[in-house]
Amino acid sequence: MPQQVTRLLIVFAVFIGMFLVAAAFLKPASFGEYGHYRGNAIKEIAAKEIKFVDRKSCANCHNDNSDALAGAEHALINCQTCHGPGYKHNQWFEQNKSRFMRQDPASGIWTVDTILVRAAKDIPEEYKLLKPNERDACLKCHAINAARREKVVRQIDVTDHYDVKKKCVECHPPHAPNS
Amino acid sequence: MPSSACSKFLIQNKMETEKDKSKTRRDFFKASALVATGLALNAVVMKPGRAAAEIERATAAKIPDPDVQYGFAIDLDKCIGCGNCAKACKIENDVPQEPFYFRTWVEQYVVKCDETMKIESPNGGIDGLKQSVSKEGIEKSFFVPKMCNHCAKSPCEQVCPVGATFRSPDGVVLIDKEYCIGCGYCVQSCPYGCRYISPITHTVDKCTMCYHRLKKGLQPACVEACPTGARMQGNLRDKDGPLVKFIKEHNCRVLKPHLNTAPKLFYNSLSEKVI
Ligand code: HEC
Ligand code: HEC
Ligand code: HEC
Ligand code: HEC
Repeated sequence: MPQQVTRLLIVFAVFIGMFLVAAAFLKPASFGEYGHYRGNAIKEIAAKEIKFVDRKSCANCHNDNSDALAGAEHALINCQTCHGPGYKHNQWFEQNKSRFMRQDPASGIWTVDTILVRAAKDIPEEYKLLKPNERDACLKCHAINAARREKVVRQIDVTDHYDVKKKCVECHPPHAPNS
Repeated sequence: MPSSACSKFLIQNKMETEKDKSKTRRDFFKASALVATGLALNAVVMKPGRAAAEIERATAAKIPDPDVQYGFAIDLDKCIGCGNCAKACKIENDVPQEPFYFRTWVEQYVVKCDETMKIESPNGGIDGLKQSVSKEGIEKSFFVPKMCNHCAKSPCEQVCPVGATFRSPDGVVLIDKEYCIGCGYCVQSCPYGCRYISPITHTVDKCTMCYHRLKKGLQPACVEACPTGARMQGNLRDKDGPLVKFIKEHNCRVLKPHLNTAPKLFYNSLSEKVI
């Protein structure tokens, strides 16, 4: 073999070796687990905290409101669509759980006492949810618009619906608007 | 509590050994095991939260799950343009509040009587879309919510120079924020305009179909927020599932089919004017 070819081969071997060493150090462990990307990226995205909590969870403490909603025109609407995301609200109760625990005298088992929970009146402002009682909150869905189908949502003429100065909630209870 | 109980037992046991030399080491381990089981059981019973967490972990979805293909459908007949989907999406996913950054938004199309068209989406529809053309001038009007189509042949994935955008085995197009260099090629390549460069991280961002919610057994935030059930998310491989059933029973179409991107977002009642 000519000398120059041998030298070239040595240079190539050195470069390939350097590449393999660098790749071994720099490549993340999970690279290529599922494809040409970092497999752990999927798990990182999946680990993000949620803000809109399970829609059924509100009924644990507000069953009067959820009962009112269930049989009425707004039954399909998630509480959090009107009241905002519930994660902080729920967090406060989770953090103060020890306050609401009660021991069953017979079995000795500790459970959350919903009567104690519902009596809580000292929730700090930042853990409270919105109470969107202004007219605009309702009109987002109920103002007349040619693209809204009347069979999906009833619409009103904002300028000509009974008393235009009153809040909607003064005549329509928000959870059961027709009662 | 367990350590103190154990040491008490140890002391007691020591005393017993002195009294009764026939007790072996084996007996001691047996007794210890019993005490430990008792303590563990006690802890589970005392803390219902812990037991619930255990059950939750056992039933949690596989991450990723190659047996499912997530898909999405929007029934335009039911959309009322209230923008609660866009609002919930921004909150859930920490999308900047400024009106140029959206993972999902709602457009109002107005076909006027003079054959011209007006398409608008002030603040992505978050404040509720308002009719801006007088009733007399409108031939027809409709809302179209937009979001990432999670294409099976996604152009954004193909143009990424560093492999930061990828399709997960369960069919969701995702971004590895650690790899993204913020070059913006994908923003340009997306035919649906679904991507933006985040002003906070300076990396690209877009809809993940709320992957983090799907894997916790919840619906995406926009689906949860929709007051009329216009949005649907589901598994395209589940042939008897509600999503496949909806697509089968309705005249569903995708956006820009001629581009052959194979979107997994299906629209019912999509007008010719939008495609
Ligand atoms: C652990 C029990 C619990 C859960 C779960 C819970 N709440 Fe509450 N919530 C309360 C209590 C207690 C109050 C305080 C009542 C008061 O101040 O009169 C309250 C207050 C409220 C208020 C009124 C705030 C105000 O300013 O008066 C709203 C609205 C509300 N909750 C909505 C919700 C929604 C929506 C959910 C579901 C995401 C939810 N809650 C889940 C216990 C709960
Ligand atoms: C259509 C929007 C809407 C939906 C859906 C809705 N609420 Fe409300 N809710 C309101 C408004 C508006 C108020 C404020 C009423 C007022 O100021 O008089 C309110 C008030 C409340 C209050 C304060 C105390 C009270 O009874 O007035 C609670 C608690 C509450 N809602 C819980 C819930 C829960 C739980 C759900 C879901 C089961 C729910 N809401 C669904 C609009 C809504
Ligand atoms: C997120 C959208 C949304 C919001 C916000 C909303 N509604 Fe509704 N509302 C609906 C839908 C959907 C229906 C059920 C379809 C229908 O009958 O119009 C409905 C039904 C109603 C009805 C019954 C109409 C009928 O006769 O069938 C009344 C009254 C009403 N809403 C009043 C209100 C008031 C008052 C508010 C503000 C507190 C409000 N709505 C907020 C979506 C909304
Ligand atoms: C002074 C009381 C009053 C106020 C304030 C009021 N409404 Fe009404 N609303 C009524 C009455 C009464 C009816 C039932 C009349 C009917 O069925 O035609 C009604 C009917 C409705 C309907 C059903 C319309 C239909 O076609 O069946 C909707 C939707 C509605 N209101 C929404 C609202 C909204 C949104 C607001 C706030 C912007 C509001 N209302 C404010 C008294 C009021």
